[in-house]
Amino acid sequence: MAPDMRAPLRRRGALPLALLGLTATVIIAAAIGSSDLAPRRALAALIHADDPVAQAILWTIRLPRLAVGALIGLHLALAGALLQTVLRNPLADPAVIGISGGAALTTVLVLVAGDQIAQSVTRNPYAVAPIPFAVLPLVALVGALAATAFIVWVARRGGPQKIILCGIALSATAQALTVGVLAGWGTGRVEGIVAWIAGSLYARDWGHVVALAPWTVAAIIALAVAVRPAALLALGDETATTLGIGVRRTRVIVIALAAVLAASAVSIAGPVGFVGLITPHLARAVVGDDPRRMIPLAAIFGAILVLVADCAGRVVAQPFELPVGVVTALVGAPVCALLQRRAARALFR
Amino acid sequence: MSARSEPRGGAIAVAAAGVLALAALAASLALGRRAMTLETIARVLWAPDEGLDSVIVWDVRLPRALLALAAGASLATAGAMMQGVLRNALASPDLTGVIGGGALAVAVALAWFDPPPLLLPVAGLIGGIVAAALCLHLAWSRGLDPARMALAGVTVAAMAAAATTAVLITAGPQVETLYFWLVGGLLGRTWPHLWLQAPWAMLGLALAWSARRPLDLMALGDESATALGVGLAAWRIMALGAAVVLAAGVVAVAGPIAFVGLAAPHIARLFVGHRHARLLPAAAIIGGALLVSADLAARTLAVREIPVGFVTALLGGPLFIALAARLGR
Repeated sequence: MAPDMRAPLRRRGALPLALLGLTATVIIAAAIGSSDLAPRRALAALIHADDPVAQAILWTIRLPRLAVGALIGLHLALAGALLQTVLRNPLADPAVIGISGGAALTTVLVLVAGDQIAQSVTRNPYAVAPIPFAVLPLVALVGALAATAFIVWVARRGGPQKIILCGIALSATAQALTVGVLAGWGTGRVEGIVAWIAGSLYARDWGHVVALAPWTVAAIIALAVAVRPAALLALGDETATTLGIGVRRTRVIVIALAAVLAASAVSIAGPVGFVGLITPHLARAVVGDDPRRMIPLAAIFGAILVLVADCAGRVVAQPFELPVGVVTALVGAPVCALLQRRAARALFR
Repeated sequence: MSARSEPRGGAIAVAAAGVLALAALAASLALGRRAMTLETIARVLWAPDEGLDSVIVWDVRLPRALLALAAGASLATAGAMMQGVLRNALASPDLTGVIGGGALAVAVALAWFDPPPLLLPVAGLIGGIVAAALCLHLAWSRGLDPARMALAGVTVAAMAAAATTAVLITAGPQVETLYFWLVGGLLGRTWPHLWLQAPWAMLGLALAWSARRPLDLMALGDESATALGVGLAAWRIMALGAAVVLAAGVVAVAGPIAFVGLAAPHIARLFVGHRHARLLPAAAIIGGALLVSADLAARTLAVREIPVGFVTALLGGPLFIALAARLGR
């Protein structure tokens, strides 16, 4: 689509400015941490090889973590923006409608079951099954799609509000079951999974980036095709039908796409909440309601939000580290509360 | 929820629930790593001695089962009252954020102030009241839509849970005790815990019973109730306060336990209908039986104890989803 020159500067300039903001966030986040690297030293280490300490910190610890954080934020924000668009519901989000909960539950189930098998085979009560984490996005995807299918089926007769309500119920149930499975049967890696359940980027490395990136690329390609029908769907079912869009099929495909995005993010960093819920609202405040402008901007905002939240989590409670999911919830929940007072008024009238 | 025709045989249903609760109680005295016959249990209950069986029954299983009974009854009564006052089928201590807010306040108290145990329910009460007020403020606009309330409750609970995790991570030496308590459940709870919770349960149940008639009238709708001369606002605040009192006592000793407060009143309503004079006792008995059985399952199903929340979620989760599917528009 050619850029609309009549659109206000704010709309045309938003995306480049947001990308600039993301770059700045990356540089600042790379410089901040338990050992401060001055931005200049960090930049120098990126280019020259004569500062081994700074290089080690940067290349093996901070940069992969930043990359994972940015991808997670991108995934969750895209998932939220897509869901809000096709469900025409300002409060839709992968965590709210149970996608993240389903993904987390199957991931924990597979890990714990694998450990149990490994333990009975090796006769070592603390054995850990060698499950490569590149498989985890697939495992999470199964749970996410199952949860999505279940919600769509349960709420098949009913409006957008019903999906939210059923999703909340599913999400609460899945969460309780996840904690229960972990506490009852988890052994060798409980500590790691407990941090993961809160939503954490601790010790994520290039392997995680490699596991996540193919999903990002695939999802963005799919998105390029799906964004136009999704945008038409946002106009209302009748309008979309008139314009030749298969309403039901489009909605299911786009929701499945959101599930893929959310599941891969959850499998790597745990169910980080509220990113998908609030970033579309921020993007809408800047560029308006058109999904074709809103969705890309929300994605960039998501990356920035997760990076800033992770940075804050690393710094505010030193020597401890707050998981990124805790920070996004502490910041996101009040914003979500405000949105409920404001944006939901139309929905629940 | 108007006072529709009462299902017949309500009294029989309540009696059956009572028998069920007693059976669950007996089973949780008998079953465990060391199984006992009912004869043995009766003997040591009648005449405690120094033997292992007697110690297990008196110091471990009996207080734990009684606490489960009291906690289940408290949560169920709290749920029944909230559903009545707010005229909202999804109202319950967990979905209004009361349990999450109470848990946060107790966690803060444990981690930073190291208070005497007697004050823990007070902390739970403060946290619960703040959370409930916040949730209702967020959700209220000319009435209380179930979806809005659930969403507001989930938001408040998420905020509280995140803050609780932050407290947990920075807690230092207290972290073990804190985590043990936060998982929720009755593992290792014994007489002092029961004595701590009992007064709050008594107070809350008494307040609930005294409000049974106004609760019936409130169910008819605001206009009818006002026309009949019920001072609505005062009763409403009193009933919600009593519900928070009940939940706070449970959270302080057993941590957050979800789904019981939501599920038990609905099960009770199936059998005894909507009149609170029957509903409140029926819900309390069913809630008690539910939590005693869930706790029994939690400590006997796996090699290790599983959190009781897992079992209550297995039972209550599907019910919650079914309710949501029926209520949502």
